[in-house]
Amino acid sequence: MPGSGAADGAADVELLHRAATGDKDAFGVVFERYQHVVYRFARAMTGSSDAAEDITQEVFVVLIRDLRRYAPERATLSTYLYGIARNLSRHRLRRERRWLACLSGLSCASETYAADPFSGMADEEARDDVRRALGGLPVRYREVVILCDLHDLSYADVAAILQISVGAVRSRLHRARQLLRQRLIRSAAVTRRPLARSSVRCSV
Amino acid sequence: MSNSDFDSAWRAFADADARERAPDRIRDAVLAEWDAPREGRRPVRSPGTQIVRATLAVAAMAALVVGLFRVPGSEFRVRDQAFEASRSHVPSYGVPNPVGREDEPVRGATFVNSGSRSATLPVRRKARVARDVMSTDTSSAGGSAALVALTGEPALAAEPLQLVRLRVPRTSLRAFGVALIDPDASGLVDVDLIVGSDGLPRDIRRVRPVVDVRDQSMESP
Repeated sequence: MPGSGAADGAADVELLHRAATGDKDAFGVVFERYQHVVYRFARAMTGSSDAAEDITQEVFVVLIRDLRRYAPERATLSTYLYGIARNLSRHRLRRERRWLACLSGLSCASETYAADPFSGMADEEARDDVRRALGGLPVRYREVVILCDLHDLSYADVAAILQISVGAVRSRLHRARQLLRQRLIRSAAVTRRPLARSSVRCSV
Repeated sequence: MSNSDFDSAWRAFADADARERAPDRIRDAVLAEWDAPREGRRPVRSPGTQIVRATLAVAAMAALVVGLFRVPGSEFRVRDQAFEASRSHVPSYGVPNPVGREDEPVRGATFVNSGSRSATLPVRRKARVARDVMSTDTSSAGGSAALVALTGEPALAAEPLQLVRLRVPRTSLRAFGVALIDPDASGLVDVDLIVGSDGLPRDIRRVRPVVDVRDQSMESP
């Protein structure tokens, strides 16, 4: 997790302090450091690349506007950015609930298949199945499983981002994995091409 | 599905997700926001979102325009004008057959109620059908009918059409754009409607009066 350690946290504070004084390069470093986690989180939450781009941009525009208001003693920068991205994603899901389902199908066809086109298609199909199953989860479960299992955040970090207790994170994650498994069982594509990998655990 | 299948599918998804990056244009847009004046900063929408929003706006405007032109009052007003214009060409009694011979199939129509076979023929343009309505000699089409079929929505070229036969009260024909000439019209009529792919009627092929059902049932052994 970027910025979770003490040194990285201090660097973030230093960078933000410089950015608050008008240092554009310092802000650029902050952007490069966190843009991918914000984008990945927003994309997994909304299921739409276009929505994720908009949310990523809005998150950093908010950061530009509120550089002086950020309080490092209250939360790390990553927690702060995750929180903004979460609020924007939930707001976006509420506002465009009707349209995101049909848009998500249009945004997944950009990958090219280099060596084995059929293998690439099968992989993408399996990923789309997982993406659909994830997108079908209720938001409160979806955000927990994204943060824990996709972004490998600790329970404590997830609890800070979602502003809930660690116990609530554990129970929601358990329920989210159950729901995700049930939804994937319904999808036939998952059983067609099993891959031997290790399971994913949340780091505590 | 076993645990390993679930884990492998999830892991593949997680690996693909870990490679996701925001496009460079997001960085450019954000840094442009940095350079912009502090007041009035607004994020630039992604091209996909802009296209979708523009498409939705155009669709909403089109739906609004179509809805305005489909107000029942205006529709009947147009049809009534056409009816008045056609009165001088059509005898007071007689059923017009827009497509000529009664049993001739309508081009482009799929006969849904004529047995198990169905066939789609090339579509006939609406203008031709409308002209036929006005020019057909109705004297041979059955002298007991008191109805005149007028034009509906124009059929599109290559549009699949269907022929739907209805038996309705004669007095309800105004809903289909058919004007009643006989003010004392009553009873049932068979209406052959040409229905477009959107489910809306395009034209009326034929209107025939129905012999009293009670008389038929009494005559049957």
